[in-house]
Amino acid sequence: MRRILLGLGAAIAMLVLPGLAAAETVKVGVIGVFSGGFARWGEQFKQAIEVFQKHHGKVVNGNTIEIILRDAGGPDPAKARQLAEELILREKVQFLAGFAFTPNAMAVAELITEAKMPTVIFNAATAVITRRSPYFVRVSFTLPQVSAPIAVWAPKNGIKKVVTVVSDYAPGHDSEQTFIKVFKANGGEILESIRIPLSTTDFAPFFERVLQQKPDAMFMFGPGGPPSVAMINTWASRLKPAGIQLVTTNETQAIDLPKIGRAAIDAIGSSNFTEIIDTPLNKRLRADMTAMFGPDQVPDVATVGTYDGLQLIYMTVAKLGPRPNPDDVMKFWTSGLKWESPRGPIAIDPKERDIIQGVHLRRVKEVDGKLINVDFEIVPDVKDPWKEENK
Amino acid sequence: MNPAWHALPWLLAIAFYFTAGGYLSLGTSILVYILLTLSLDLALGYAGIITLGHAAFFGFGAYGAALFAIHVNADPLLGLVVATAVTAVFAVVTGMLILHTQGVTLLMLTLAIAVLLAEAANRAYKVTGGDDGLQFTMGPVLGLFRFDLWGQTAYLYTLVILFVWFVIAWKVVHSPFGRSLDGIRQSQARMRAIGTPVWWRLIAIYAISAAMAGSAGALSAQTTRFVGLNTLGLLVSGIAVVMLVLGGTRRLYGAFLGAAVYVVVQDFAAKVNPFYWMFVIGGLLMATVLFLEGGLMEVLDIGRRWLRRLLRGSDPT
Repeated sequence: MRRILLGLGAAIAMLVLPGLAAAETVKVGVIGVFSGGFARWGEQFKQAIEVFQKHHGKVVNGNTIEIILRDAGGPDPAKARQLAEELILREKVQFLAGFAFTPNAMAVAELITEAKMPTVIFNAATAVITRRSPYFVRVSFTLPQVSAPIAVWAPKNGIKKVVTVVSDYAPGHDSEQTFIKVFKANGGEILESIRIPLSTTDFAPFFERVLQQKPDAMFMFGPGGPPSVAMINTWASRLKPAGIQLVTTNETQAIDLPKIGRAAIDAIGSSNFTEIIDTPLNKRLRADMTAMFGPDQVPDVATVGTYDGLQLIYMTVAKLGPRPNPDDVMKFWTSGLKWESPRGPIAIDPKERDIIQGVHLRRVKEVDGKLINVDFEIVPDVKDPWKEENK
Repeated sequence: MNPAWHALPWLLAIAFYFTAGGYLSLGTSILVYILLTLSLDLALGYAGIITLGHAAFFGFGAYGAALFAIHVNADPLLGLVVATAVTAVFAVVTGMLILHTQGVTLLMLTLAIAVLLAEAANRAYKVTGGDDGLQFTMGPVLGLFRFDLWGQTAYLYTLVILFVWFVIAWKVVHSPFGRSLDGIRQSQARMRAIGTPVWWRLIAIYAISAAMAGSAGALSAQTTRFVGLNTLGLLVSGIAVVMLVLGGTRRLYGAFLGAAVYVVVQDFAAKVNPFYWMFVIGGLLMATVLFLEGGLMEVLDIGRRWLRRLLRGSDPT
């Protein structure tokens, strides 16, 4: 009861307070996943927001930036849409942001177009999203973007025959299609393409089929978190001893490596963010993450996505003021923006409103008893290849 | 009960329409949940069909409406009728398979059907869009009112459909058929002994309840123009049961109270703390189950009795 009363009190305060505050407040509605089994995405959003506010404060040219968090609870498109509606109509936000999952981002496309709401995607990585509304801009990555460079590298480095294994939903399809296309164009051969339902927990039967095909490597995409950890463990126990290499995208992030353990050693990855990136901003971000949230906390893809999304919003408010016209915002966002991210220099493709960035090809190694991703090649300025294919 | 009380929830719903501001889409989702909970009250509350599988019907209706809008016709009412009808047929077929069982067996079977359907939808990627869901556009209601950004059409459309279903539910519950369900819930053996065709009665109420849940699903899909696998998830079945218990079973209006309180509390709590709001919901449910056997409707009853005593000085009952 106490909690409910507190809740009611806070709710009333929220209704009353905006009327009292006279200074201009810029509201940014962030839709993420802050509860349930996928809460680690929300955790990254939240940590990145706090670190960013420590670095840049909450005020831009005298205007307070207020960030309003809303919980979609998981991949729940209807909920995401409802939250977006409320943020736009009730909270009267100037920007929408967030979105860990593709379906949640897709669900608000129609709405933000109608409401003319500039929306920054912090994570969701299916290529097509930014085509669904002219008010989307993405600062994370796209799956084709990280899948293509490794498909170019592999055939040149002794990996000629591959079986692809992906989770059966849009990002998985994106990843699979791009890899197959680029890999074949570079002289590789695909033996089989397997799609695994998202809810799968036992991967052994699928990997047994891979084993029978005797490929040089398995290309794999999982949904992140526990399923991806299980996939890598299954690879290590069944396929690695048979000499089948593992090629993935973001599966071996620093945040997951302790959970995967030594099984991850020698896994080849391709990502827009690697922990050893040697930029001053990355070092500062890492140091502050550890200082603020504990020694186990490391920045990950969604952390830098959120950080850069906020950089973009702060830049926009600094340039266009606290109440910008949505079309001016979109004009600004498509004016060939470039800035320094913890992951290095990034840019926004003026035509597609999607991110252009370097892609790191790396391998998991054990250095001084610690598992880390070691880059062996960095492909600079990669545009989303899917957009190039589907003009 | 004084007939004037019956007007109260509907007047509140209409008043909400004019005062809601940006809360209308929340209002629409409350109405959808009321309809779902109401359908569960018929099956679980009145007929005693222990089920954890109502998400199957909710999702069936939702996908039915979405697929109909995409492939056949974007008219909302037509889509709603078709989605409701196919859900009822689905319920008759599955009902014939499982309704000869009772208790835990029945619970497991309803659960199994819901899980099977969810998995089938997951596998049928080409039809259902799998985990990506289906996004679609709807035509205007009656060819006149398009679904607007403010959710006004969606709210009123859902409210009207809910009212129609409420009248049907009321008629069913207070008919001789409804009385026989009361008997079936209390003792199937006795009802059989006096010549009641128990199995058919159960199938009939199961189908009516499922049709209602299918309508709720269809409304949810149509008003958000999106349907995803979560409409078939266990969580939907669970939430419906929670709302029913919260509001009070076998009261019809219990569904109104339970769904509204659940959604509003969740909305407030999740806003105040987006990380641990589930504690509030859990606490509320525990308090209700521990202290209010008849759900929140009991609070209303107490209030009404108190009011009457206040007006008349003393109350003989």
